Amino acid sequence: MRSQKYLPWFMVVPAVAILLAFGIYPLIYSFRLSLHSYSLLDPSRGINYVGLENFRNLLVGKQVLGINFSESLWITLIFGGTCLILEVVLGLGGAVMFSRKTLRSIQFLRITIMIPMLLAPVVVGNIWRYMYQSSFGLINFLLGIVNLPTPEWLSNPFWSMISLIIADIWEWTPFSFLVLLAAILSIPVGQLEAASVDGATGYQQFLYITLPGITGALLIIVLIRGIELIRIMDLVYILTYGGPGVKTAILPFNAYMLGFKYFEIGKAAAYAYLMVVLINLFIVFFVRTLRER
Amino acid sequence: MFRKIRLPVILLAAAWLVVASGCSVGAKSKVTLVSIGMPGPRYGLSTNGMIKEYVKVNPNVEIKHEGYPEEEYIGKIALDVAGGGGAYDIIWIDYKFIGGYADANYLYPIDKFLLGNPSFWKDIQNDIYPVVLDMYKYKDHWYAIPNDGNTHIMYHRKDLLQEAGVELPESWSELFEIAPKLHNPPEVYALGGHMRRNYAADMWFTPFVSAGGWYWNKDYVPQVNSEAGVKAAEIMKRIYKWSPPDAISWEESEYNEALGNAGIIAIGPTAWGGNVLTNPDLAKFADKIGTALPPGFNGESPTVPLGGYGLGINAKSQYKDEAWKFIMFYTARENQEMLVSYTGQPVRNSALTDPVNIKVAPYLPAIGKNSKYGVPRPVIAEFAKVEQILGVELMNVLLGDKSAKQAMDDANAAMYTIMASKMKK
Repeated sequence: MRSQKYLPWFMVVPAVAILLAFGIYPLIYSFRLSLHSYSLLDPSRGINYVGLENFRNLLVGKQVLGINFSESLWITLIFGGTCLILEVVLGLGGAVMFSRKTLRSIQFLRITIMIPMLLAPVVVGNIWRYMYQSSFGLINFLLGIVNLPTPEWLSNPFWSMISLIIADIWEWTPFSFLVLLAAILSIPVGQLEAASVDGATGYQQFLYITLPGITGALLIIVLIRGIELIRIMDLVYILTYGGPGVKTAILPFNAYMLGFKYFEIGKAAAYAYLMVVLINLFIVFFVRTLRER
Repeated sequence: MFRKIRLPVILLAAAWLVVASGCSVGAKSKVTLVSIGMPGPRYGLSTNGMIKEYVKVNPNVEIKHEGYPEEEYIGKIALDVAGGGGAYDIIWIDYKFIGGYADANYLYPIDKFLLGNPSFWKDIQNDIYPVVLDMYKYKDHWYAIPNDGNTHIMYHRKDLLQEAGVELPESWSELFEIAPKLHNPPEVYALGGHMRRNYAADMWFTPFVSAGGWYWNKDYVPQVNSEAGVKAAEIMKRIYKWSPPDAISWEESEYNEALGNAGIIAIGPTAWGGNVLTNPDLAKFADKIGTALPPGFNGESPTVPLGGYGLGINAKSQYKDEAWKFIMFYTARENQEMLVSYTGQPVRNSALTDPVNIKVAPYLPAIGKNSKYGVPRPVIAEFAKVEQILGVELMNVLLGDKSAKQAMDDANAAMYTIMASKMKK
């Protein structure tokens, strides 16, 4: 009888232990690290308590690895915002197109569209990196054939950002496409037919029936992709390495460099915590919007 | 309920204990060493090849080699240091980490082994440049035996130079004089190099130090904005002027591709040596590519950076003697042809001039010759960040955002923050 009483507690212990060990403890420990100066490359220096200095340095605009936090935040917002808007717009366009009866049966195309999303970001980065080479890359070779201008994709600050955006859109538009296609196909056909009988144009059907019907899916896409875009690192690392110079050095890239190239663990933890705050602000905003809906 | 599952849980735990103890009993008959390094032909393939040969003659030893890409490999070692050590027995170690890891008692001083093997030690001292050997010495103790050597090389297309009727330049002024004669973009750019931010400071090193510069004075006060620093930054800008525009984003593999396969570069004035450009299996133009000393100033030889790695022993290793035996085998004079056959890059002068090795890797003599003019890069933990700052500012010069003087002034100012703790000391 006594053992029966404790059984539920016994059953949750593994889950709680795992959560504590791999979720809560690292969170608390990394916050503790963010209050310290700690270099793994110079372990003899030890771990020294510096209070909020790491956070203060970031917030007052002190440069970290040649760029300050606000500059990097701005680059992140340009990159993330542009990708998000274009991925949603292109995904929506594709979904609307493929939701039409005439194209519904083209399963092959739907599967093909998914391929980029299934590739590892490192592979995507390397494929694009070689294609973008202005001297011997495929893209400029093809542009040259049709006498179009051949940009310096990875060596010009403007074009390097465009390069990143194109690669990310190529990889992740299929995600919004698939989610939105599912959402559109779940709208009762009767509603559209009734609207059509009442004389609504295709545009009006889209505006007053389709769009309201997929708002939930749209918000979820924005939420998931938004979080992803704030913490994307691998593509930038492979494709531009934050360059030329630091022109595409987005926040997660800098946090990674601080932590895993220069092993400034304390500073990297502070950097990551500031990013967590940003991501949480983003989540709170969208969850509130979703609730209101 | 708990009683019902108690018996199976106890039985399972007992079974696991039996299996686990069986494994360790089995392992006791054979010594297992764990080694850490990087992957790729120069690192992973060569080490695995040497391990294969070693265990053939030492069947009681098993060596598991873990190869990780550079940053991950450095990270694994750093985490092992933070965790108290012991994860690896044999460590491929970059000389710049020797001091920090020796102070942290992570690396084992190998003096005892060297004294115990006088003929091997004497041979090593006679066959490796003292400046290279000293990179693995810290506070009068030796911590590793160099097993891999490297320095900067001027790779060039012999056929293009001949076609243009120009001699191989020996100075920077000669290089820029002949550049217009070789320049025919987009087919061929006179110059090129991997100038991406994390390599730029490396490339800048050769003209900077050759012009008499150094990063800081004896009190670690930064001085990269010296005349030498600005001059070297201007040279970088001039190199970039004659290079493919995307050289600013190139890493080593793209530079190799451009010079070795695309054939769009005539001269790479200063870049790390490697087994790609003169290897016909990896480079289409391998037979047309020559190696030389990078340019210098005013008829003087340049000063080039020294690279390479050593093999060290973890202070927490239980098998230090066995680890040492493998290091001796790896670095022994008689095994260097074997090392090169496994695509390794030796450091012994006898191996770098061995005709058998040169046939396999024609660039090896250049490493030997150029190392004579080599100096080690700084070995303090802050140096990685200094290189980053320099890289950012050199990019500003190449992109035309700042003058060489302004960029070096800014780099120098930023270095004050990085070097603050050293300067206080």
